[in-house]
Amino acid sequence: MNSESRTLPDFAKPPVVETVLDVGFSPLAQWGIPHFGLFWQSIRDDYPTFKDQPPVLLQRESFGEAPAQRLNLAFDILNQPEARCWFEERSGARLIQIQHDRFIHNWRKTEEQQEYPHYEQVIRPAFSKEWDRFCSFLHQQGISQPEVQQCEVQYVNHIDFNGWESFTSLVDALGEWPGGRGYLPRPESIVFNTSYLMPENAGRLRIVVQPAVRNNDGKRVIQLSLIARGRPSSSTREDILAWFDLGRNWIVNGFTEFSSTKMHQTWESIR
Amino acid sequence: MPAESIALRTAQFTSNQWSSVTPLGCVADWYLESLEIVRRLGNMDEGWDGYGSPSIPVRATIKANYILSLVSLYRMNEPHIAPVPGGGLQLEWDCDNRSLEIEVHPTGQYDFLIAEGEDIVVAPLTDKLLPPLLNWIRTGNLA
Repeated sequence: MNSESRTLPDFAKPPVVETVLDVGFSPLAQWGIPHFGLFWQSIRDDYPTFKDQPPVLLQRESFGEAPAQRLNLAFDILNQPEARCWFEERSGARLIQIQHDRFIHNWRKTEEQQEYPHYEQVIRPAFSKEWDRFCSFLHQQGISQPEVQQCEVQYVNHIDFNGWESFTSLVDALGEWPGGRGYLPRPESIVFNTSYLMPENAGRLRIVVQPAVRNNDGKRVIQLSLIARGRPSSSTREDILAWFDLGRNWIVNGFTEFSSTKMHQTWESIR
Repeated sequence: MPAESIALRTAQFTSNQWSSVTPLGCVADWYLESLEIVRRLGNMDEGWDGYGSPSIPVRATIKANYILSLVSLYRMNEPHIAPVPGGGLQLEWDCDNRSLEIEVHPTGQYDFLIAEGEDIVVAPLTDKLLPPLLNWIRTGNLA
């Protein structure tokens, strides 16, 4: 873990409801449907619930090279995995998602676990443990170790329609948004999608603001997603974690700079 | 495949998130209003039908909201939403001589009923069955 992460902004009541640590790798040639069951067997004590899901395509970031062609997209769709499996932890707060070219570790807020378990103390070590377990399983099964193509860190925040008056009080950057001072009234709704390139093409941070309805309770929220993607130096666990640290630093600093001081007070800024 | 189906499938393909939301802006105009109807029905007191029917439990309203969120991604007309004696909720669409009813039970489980003329089919509803059923009520084709 780098020293920068110890001085990052922090909040006592951050609006984060989910974190995603996602490793995309070249398709595992020897992986087949039976391996989902075999892998589940190895983690079932901790992750007793299983659900099948449609596969998720890799949102590949390009840095400087020519943008992906339609042909590549068509190839990606043809080459998509047959299945993705969810393995839900007993507490309902953690999830492992597996497909033949992805390993995804999610944490989400639940009724029982309202407090965000911080990245350094819980989320990072938990990923590290489960990634090791996955790689050991591949080794035992005679399957090649993953050749990592891209890593992604994502923080999903839900901001209730309380404690702020308009979109422009949510995000400082929207203070200059047209409306509220002249002919146009205050904007009723805003969808915001912006991206920032990290120095030396180390990755890209995307910030997406989207009004939404939460499906489990029907509440209207603003979903503020911060997504950092990039390619680690190598496929070792250390380099994957190093990239996650970088992506997470960008997310925390980006979140703080992107959101308004007023909202920082609501979320009880610590430093 | 209808464009709506492609849109829904694409959304499913591109999400690694666990928490589920319905983004506003890509949903039907009636969606928010339908959530409000469900909320109001969920607040009805016991005996709302004059025959001692229990209130509609939260788990039934959550499931109804979930189905509405899925349906709202398609270009469907607004459903007729009604309470069911016993504490359930019903969502209904009619088109020509076809009818689709989705009943959410107080337990949170749900069934569908499709009727065309005299023919009626009742079965448990799954997420995978929903797109062909919606296509059927709109066009008469189950594919």
